[in-house]
Amino acid sequence: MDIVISNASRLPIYEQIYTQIKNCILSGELSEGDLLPSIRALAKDLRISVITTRRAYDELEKNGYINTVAGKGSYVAGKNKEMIREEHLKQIENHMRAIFNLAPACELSLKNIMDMFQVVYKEEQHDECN
Amino acid sequence: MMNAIEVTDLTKSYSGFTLENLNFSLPTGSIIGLVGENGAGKSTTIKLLMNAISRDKGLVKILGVDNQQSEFISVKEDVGVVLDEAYFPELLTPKVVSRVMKYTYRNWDELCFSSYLAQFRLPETKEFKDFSRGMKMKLAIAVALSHNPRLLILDEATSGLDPIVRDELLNIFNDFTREESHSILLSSHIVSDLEKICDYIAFIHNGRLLFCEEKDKLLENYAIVRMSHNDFEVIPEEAVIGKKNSNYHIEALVQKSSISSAFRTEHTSLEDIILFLAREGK
Amino acid sequence: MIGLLIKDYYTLIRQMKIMLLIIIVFTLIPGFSASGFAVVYAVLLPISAIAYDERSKWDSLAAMMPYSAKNLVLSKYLLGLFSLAAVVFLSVIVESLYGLIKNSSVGIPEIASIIVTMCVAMILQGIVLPLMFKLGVEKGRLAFFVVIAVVVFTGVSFSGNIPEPVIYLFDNLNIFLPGAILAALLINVVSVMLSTRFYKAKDY
Repeated sequence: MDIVISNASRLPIYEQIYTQIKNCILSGELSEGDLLPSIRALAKDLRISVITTRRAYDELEKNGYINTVAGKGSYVAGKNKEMIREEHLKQIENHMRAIFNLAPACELSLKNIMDMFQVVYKEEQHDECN
Repeated sequence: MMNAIEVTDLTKSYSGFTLENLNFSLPTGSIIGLVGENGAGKSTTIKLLMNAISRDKGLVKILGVDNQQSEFISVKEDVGVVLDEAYFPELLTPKVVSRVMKYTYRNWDELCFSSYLAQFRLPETKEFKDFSRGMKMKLAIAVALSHNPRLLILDEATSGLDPIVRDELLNIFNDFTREESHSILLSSHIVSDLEKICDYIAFIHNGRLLFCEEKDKLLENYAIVRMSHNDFEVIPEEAVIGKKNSNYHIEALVQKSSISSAFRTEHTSLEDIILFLAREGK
Repeated sequence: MIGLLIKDYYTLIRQMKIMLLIIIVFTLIPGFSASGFAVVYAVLLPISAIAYDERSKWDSLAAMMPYSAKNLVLSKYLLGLFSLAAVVFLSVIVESLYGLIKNSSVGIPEIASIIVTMCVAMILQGIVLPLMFKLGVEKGRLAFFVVIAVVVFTGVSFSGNIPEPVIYLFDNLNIFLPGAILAALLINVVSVMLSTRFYKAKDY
């Protein structure tokens, strides 16, 4: 698991850690039951405050990504369907926003975009049949 | 889990200087940085913490024990201290110091001390008076680390050292707290060093503790913004912690959450924040 | 406290060696009693140790370590005692050897006068150390000289008319030996208590 903290980012450090660990879990890089490094070890290795890693882990636990067992450590929680679905919906939304950001440069209207969707959709269907 | 250090209403008066009503705690397992300009009261605070000088008022607990009780002397076994200008008598060598410490501390670890001497490249049989300031500091740190302490109190332990050595020492201090029962109080006027490893920052200014905050919270909440005089009018007064006026613009330290995200914030270091606060005396 | 004694020993060792050399050299001067010299030196050693401590601000560091004020103070008295004993012992040896070599009638100096010498030294130490702890080395040394000057002055002004009891005292040291030892002990006990109180009251 690689974690890269950037001081130049606008995001608070605990949020950067939270997001990166979360993505590792969602992408499958970390599997259910994997033991995460201890809050303290992670802090010392990254040269950041223990308070911050603790905050990140607390947030991960609150949102159901990890489970902490007193005295043992933090483990990756099982992916529940709801969590995955939510994540995917979010990604789809992000893709949509990206499309709408690019559209003006090509002078596409909402109708143009919808038409394009139809075209691509038909193509995908066609590929699937073959 | 008890606090490694607990200070309540600590007060000490000298003619011309008063350290007033200090209140702060250091949770076990954390590193706190004491920052302030020379003469602000950092060294006085440290001496008060160990009862080397007597307080006028207040309470100090180190590792859970009131430092004016008779049991405190055995607490000193667990505290490693490095002072700014107090050293071993100048005719002693590190080898002799080790022997003296063996009869001073119950848990003196001679091997540990030797390995630090080697790591710091300190000659075992050279007299203290022939040491450079950097070497004196390193020896003091080696001693402080070699009797299995639970708490380190370091007064300007990195001052006067070159950046490479400072980084080496900060690494050692960082590693010291991998153990969750270990804590550090580090006083320095080199704010960038404190920014690297501290969990909490306490700012002492003219004998008063202006704040004691989580370092990351400080960096998250405050930022420097540079803007035109006109733009400055837009900012709510409560959001401005401090400001610097120049002919061409205003530079202000603001609370990030209280201003519009349209403002661009400059890269703000802990030192920047401290400087603004010191100037304002707030 | 062993640690403290080791520290002072290594700090003063060079000084002690020179001292020894001087004592040996002076012993060779006919008619010179090394013991008196030894007394002065032995009293000066703890003062020297305190001076070195002051120079490096050792007391501030010691305040951080598990030493009790009593031990910090007592170690200086013991230092004085040990160095006194060592120096007297050595000067006696040297004088005796010298006597043997010269085959002169100078025999082993009387035990009594040795003990009295030591008592005098201990009493001096008992007076000077509290002054050191209270006033610091600079002012303490000054105060000590004042005390000595007063004593010498009193002695000199009486030299014409030394009262009977005092003459009797000096002629019959053997009898007053226990008294001298007791006085030395008592003075030192009080002295240690005073010094400890002075030390505790100081901020380092």
